[in-house]
Amino acid sequence: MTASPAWAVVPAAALVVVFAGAAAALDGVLDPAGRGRPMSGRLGRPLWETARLLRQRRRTTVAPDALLWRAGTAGPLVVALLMAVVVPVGGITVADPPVGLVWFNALDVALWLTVWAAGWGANSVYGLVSGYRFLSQALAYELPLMFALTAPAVAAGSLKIGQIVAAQDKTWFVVRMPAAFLVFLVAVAGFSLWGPLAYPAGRDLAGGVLAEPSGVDRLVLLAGRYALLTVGAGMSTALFLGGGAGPLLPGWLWSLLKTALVLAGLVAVRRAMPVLRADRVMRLAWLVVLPVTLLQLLVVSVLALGGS
Amino acid sequence: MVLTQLLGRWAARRPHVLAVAAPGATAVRLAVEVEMARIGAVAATAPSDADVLLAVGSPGDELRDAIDLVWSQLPGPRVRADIDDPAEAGAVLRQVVRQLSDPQRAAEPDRRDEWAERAPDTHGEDMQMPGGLMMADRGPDRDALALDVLTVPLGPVLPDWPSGLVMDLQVQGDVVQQARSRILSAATPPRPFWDAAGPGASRRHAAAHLDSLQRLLAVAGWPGMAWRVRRLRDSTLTDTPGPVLRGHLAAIGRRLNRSPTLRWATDGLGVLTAETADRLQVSGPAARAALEGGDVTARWRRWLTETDALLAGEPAGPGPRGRSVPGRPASAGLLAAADELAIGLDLAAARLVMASLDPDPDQLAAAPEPAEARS
Repeated sequence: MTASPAWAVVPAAALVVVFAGAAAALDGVLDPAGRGRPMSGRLGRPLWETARLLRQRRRTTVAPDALLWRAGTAGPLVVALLMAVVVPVGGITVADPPVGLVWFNALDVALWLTVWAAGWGANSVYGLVSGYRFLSQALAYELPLMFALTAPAVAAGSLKIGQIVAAQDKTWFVVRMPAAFLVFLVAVAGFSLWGPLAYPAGRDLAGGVLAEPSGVDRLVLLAGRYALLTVGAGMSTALFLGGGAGPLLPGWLWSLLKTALVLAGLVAVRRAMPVLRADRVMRLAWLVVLPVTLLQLLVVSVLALGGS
Repeated sequence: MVLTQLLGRWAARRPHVLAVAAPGATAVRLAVEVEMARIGAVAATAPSDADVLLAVGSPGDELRDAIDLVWSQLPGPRVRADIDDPAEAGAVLRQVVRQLSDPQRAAEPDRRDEWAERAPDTHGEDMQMPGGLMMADRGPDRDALALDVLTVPLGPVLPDWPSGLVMDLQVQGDVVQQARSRILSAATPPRPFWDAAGPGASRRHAAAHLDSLQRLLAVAGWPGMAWRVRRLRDSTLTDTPGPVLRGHLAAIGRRLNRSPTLRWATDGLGVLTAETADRLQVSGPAARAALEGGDVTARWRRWLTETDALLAGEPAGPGPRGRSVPGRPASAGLLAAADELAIGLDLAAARLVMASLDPDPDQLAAAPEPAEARS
C-alpha cells in the first residue's frame, strides 16, 4: 500500500462527503413517510435539508459555553475526516502509519469529548442529559469495540492497516471473526448516534444533542453523523472484508462497492427497531457482548499462534 | 440573488413544522398531521429545528404565552400561523410554505437575541446569576448523596406529547424526584374528540387506542412503526372496511410482539398494580393491563387487543380511557398514575410511562382542576 502526497486529503474528504450525501439520500428513499411521493423528491432530501440549514440562522441559548458548544457540534465531522486519513480505498490511502488502527481507535474515543461537549455547551437540560446519555452509551460499546479492533490486528500481527488488508489475501477476516465484525458495526452505529443507538439524539428529549443547534451548526453535526457512518463502513471493509480484494474489477472499485453495501445496511437498520436505552443495553453489553468479543479474540489468537 | 431564490425553493420542499396543539383540538391536529404528510413536511423536534410554528386549536393564555416564547426561539426564516378548523389545514399549510420560500422572508431583519441582552438578575443576597438563571439547589438523592436538584417542565411544546400537558419535574441528573402534571387550558371549552357515543363509537375508540400507540412508538424512538400506526389510525376514521384494518393491525401487532428491542424498552417499566389502579380510579385499558403484569408492555398489548376487538365489531365501552364520572374524567386517574410512577425513573423511562398511560387532555381541560381530585 502506497502512502499518498499531502493533497490526497482533499479527494479523500470529497469522497467521504459524497458517500455521506448518498447515505442521506438513501435514508430519504427508505423513509416510509415519503412513500407515494416522486422519487426525485426523496432522493433530493439531503439537498433540501442542506439548503434549509444554510439559509437558517444560527441561534444561541442562555449563557452557553460557546467554545465547547461550537467545537462539540463540529467535532463529529472533524473526527470522521481524521479517521478517513487511514481508511484505504483499494491500494490507495492518504497515510498508512504503523499504528493506523490505534489512530482510528483514539479518534473514536475523542468522540466521547466532542458529543458530550455538544450537549453540555448549549446549557440546556435536554442537551446536558443527552451528552451524558452518550457517555453511558459509549461505556456500553467502547470496550467491545476495542477488542473487536484488536482481533484483526492480532490475526495480521500488525497495527498497520495496509498489512491487515494484506493478511486477508486468502480468507477475509469476516469469516474468521464474524462476532468481531458485527460488534464493530454496532459500535459504528453507536458512535454515529445512529438508528437504534441514537439514544443521545433521542426524539423523547426534543432531539437530545440536536435540541439546540440550528443553521450551520446543525448541518455540520448532522453531516458529521453521516460521515462517521461512512468512515465506519469504509473501515469495516478494510478490516474484515478484504479491502479491495475481488475478481475482475480494480481494487479501489471493490473497496467502494463493499463500503457502499455496508453503509446501505447501516442506513437501513435505522427504521428496523426502536432506540435502545443505555441503561437497558448496559447489561447486555457487559454480560454478553463483551465476553463474546473476548472469546472471539481468544479464538483468533489461538488460530494466529497455530498458523504462524 | 439567484442562489438565494434557489435555496429558498429547495428549503421549502422540506419544511419542518412545529405544530403546538391546544387541548380539545384533536380533530384539527389529526387534519394537520394528514396535510403535513401530504406536502412532505416534517414534524420538528424542537424550536431550533422548526421553520413553521402552527398554533393548532384555540390555546388559552398560558399556552399562548408558551407559543410566543417558542416563536422567539425559532431561528428563522420562520413563518407562524393559526389553524382552528380541520377543513382549512391544507390551505393554511400550503400558504405557509409559499411564504417560507419567499426571499424576503430570509431577509427578515436580525432579531435581537433576547437571551444575550437579558440583564443579570439578582437573587437573595445580591448574588449575580449567570444569564439571569437561578442556580440549582441541592438535595439528597437516592444514594444519600447531595446532588443538584433542577426544576424542569416537560411540555407543553414537546414532540409526541399530549397537547397542553405540562409535567413539572424535579430532577437530579436525569432521574425524576418529583412530578406534578397539569393541563393548560384552552380558550374555548374543549369537546373530547375520542369519547364519541353512538353508532361510530367503536371506530372512534379504536382510533383513540391507535393514536396512543403511535405516540408511544414515537417516544420509544421507532418513527417508522409510529408512522404505520398513524396511517392506520387515519384510515380507521374513514370508512375503510373493518377486515382490511384488522389485517393491517395484525401485521403491526406481529412486528411489535416479535421485537425484542421494543420489549427491552418497555418490559417491567412503570408497573401499575391493580390496587393502585383502583385507588386512583383508573379504569379502561390501563386498569385491565394491570391484571396482565401492569407494565408498559402490558398496556401497549392491551391497546392492540382492544383495538382489534373494536374493529371486529365489539360494542364500544364507556370511553377509550375508561369510565368518567362527573368531576372526575377517566384521564385524571391516568395523569395521577403517570406522576406517581415517574418517580425514580430517568426522563426517557418517565416519558414512556406517560405515553403508555396517555391521559387525554381533551377530557382534562374540560374538567375542573385535576389537582383537587387527586389528593
